[in-house]
Amino acid sequence: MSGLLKRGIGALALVAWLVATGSGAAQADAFAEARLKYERGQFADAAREFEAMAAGPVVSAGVLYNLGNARFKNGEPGRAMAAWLAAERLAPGDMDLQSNLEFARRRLGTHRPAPWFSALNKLRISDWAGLAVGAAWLWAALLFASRQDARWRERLRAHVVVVGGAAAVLLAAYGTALWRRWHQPDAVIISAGGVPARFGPVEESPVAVPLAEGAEVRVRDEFPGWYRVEDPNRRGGWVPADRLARLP
Amino acid sequence: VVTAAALKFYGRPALYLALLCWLALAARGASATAILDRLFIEEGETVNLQVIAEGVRQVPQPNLDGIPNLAGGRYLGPMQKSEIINGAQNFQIIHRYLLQPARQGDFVIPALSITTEAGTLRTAPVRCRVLPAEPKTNSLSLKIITERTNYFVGETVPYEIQLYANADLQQVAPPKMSLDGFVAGREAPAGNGSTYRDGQTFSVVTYRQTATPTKPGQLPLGPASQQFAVRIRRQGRGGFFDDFFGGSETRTGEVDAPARVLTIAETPAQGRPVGYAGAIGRFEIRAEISRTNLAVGDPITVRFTVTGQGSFDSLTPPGIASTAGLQTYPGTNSFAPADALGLIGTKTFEQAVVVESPDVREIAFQPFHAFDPESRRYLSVALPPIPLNVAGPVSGPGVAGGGPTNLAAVPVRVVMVEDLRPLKVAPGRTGRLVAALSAEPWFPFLAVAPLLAYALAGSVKRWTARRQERARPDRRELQRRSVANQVQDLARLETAGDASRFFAALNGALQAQAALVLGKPAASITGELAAEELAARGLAAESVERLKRVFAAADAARFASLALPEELAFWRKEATELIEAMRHLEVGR
Repeated sequence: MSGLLKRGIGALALVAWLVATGSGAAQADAFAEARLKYERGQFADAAREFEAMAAGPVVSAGVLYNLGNARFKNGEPGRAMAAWLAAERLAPGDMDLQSNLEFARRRLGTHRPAPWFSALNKLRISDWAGLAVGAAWLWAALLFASRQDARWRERLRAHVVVVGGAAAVLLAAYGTALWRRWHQPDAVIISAGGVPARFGPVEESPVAVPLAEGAEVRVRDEFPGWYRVEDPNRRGGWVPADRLARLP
Repeated sequence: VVTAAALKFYGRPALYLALLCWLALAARGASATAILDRLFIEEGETVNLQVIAEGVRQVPQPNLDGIPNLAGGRYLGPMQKSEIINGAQNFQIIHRYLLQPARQGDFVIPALSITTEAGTLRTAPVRCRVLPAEPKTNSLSLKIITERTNYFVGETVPYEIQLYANADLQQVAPPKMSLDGFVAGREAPAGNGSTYRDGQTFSVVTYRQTATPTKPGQLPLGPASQQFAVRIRRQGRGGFFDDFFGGSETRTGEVDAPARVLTIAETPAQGRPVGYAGAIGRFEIRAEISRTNLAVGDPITVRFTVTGQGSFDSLTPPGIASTAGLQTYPGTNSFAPADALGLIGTKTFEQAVVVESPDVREIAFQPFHAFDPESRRYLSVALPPIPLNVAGPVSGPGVAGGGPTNLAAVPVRVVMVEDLRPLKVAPGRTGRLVAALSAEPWFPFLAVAPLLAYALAGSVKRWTARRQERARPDRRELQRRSVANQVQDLARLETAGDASRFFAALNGALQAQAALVLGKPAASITGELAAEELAARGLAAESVERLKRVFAAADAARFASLALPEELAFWRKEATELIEAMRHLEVGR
């Protein structure tokens, strides 16, 4: 029975590996095919293929980045921004990605984040969390150990101070990254030519401020079919839900 | 103490870190390069890879594992090369490989990392194109190769002529090329290499040249022909004497390559900006002027620097916008190629301008347009105008000869013909596009919850201990309670008329209270001792006397414990008052 079970598990593992390898190879072929179309100037086709690859629950930063490029070249800067900003969630330190975001923001005349945030952008928020929590736990372990014995207390005192300082710095960085995440835009205007933000969630409401295509906004309130959004300068209003793309 | 201990522990790692940083800085003087000997090969052929490290003495063999599309490879060994250039010694270590790609398409050697004494060096990725295999039936064959078959009028076409020789090649003449419909461009020095295919080794002579199509249509690039001389062995026995006295002869011949037909198109009319002057490629452009503070009549030099990749021959400067009071003169240009074929480089245009009116406030430029053949789009950039400060009358002669002036202190305006960064060649890091747990507001608290729990538990423990400590009566308190109990007993025993036990309680209460004041065991307290030491502590003399009497009475009662109720009441009152008087002497009350 035990041997049968082992063989069964082995066969299942083999099938899983073959499926994974096969799907990986198919994915690589599709990626190369989409790239080729982009290089040939078939941006709409390339965008469609990259979109299909980005439809799954697990996506790669490279696919989203290339999708952004294809959409931008295809004249859809708002949707391109949405793809790049999604890619930024996965690979915030990617220099090409940051360059394209900067290029697009400059081209679209939309808000550009303060440069000092770029240092925090080198790591994902989960990376900052891991570093900060790890340092805090290490500090706590050292503190606990130092409390067990007078000799240990003397021996570990310097480590407690240094690791505690490092933990404090990392926690501060994590806190700043969190603060930024809670305040950074979570949606992008994708409507061609921009969209007027209105005082109320009805088409008849007067225009409060026009929002450009590709403008990064934060959703503050919801109403069926409408979002109340604010740009980084705290200007905003209600826009139809289909005119913007929510970011993950 | 903490600082010293921290330095002691962290000092060494910090030193190592500093050393690593220094090595990394030192490594900036060292470099590594990867070179493939041919840009185009055929399927089934080998290509030579050289990894060249400069400025270091020891370089381990780079690891080529994981190179995609690699069917096989062989390490040919290291080679050292030393040369002195301008008095500075340049030392190179070269690792050589023979590689065979697996299939057609791009064969890319990714960036290789080499760990040296000067730190980790990285090479730039290199690539070659693997073309379909063509049979090599003759001992010599010639072919023309281009990277693609579609080009635009005015676009520089780089091409290669490759001569394959499976013979003892003695001499070759430069190839003759028919370029009907093209303008011949630059030539790179010929490259000699070798390849292994079909079980044989071929010498490959590569000529890299450029040509620019001048009209649209199906244009043949070529044909090409090349004269050669090979040495062949004479018919004979082939012994020592044949070899020594010339057993071989040299024969000449000519080998031809068929033309390669290219599809040449005009740059698209759709989207072509007004003022497009035929620039093809991807460029950055910079404009600068010799000075901005000048007087009417002063000449200034406007310099445009165009850097990038493309057809520099057809490149023209953006031009200065026509402005009243601004006289422009014909300019000069120069080109500094960064590669052998002049496809990458910097072209500089200089133009003399004379300001003839004090009303001129700026130099404005016409937009610069270029067609990018890769994305098949036009890229445009508007150079911002450079403000001028024109003051006063004519201060000197006008422009003489239009020569460039000193550009040392020039404000530089940089504007680039920008575009997106290129596509990623690999999907890269994957992940789920859901909000990270670590971004939730409660996560930091959850993450440090055990720490908080630890700290909270410690605080609770300390607080409980302190509370218990406070709640627990101390020895003095117990003594006080004992005194109070005994005083209460006195009243009870007085009522009961139990003289014996009354005086025992009286003695005990006084001893306990005196012990509280003096800090001594109650059993050690006698009347004399109490009187003497309490007097020293400030007990009034009259009280001291009364104390002596009470102790004496209690002492006497041990032998004759009979007493009237009035006496018991008297002694109880005396004892109570003395205890109260002694309480005032207690420290800390």
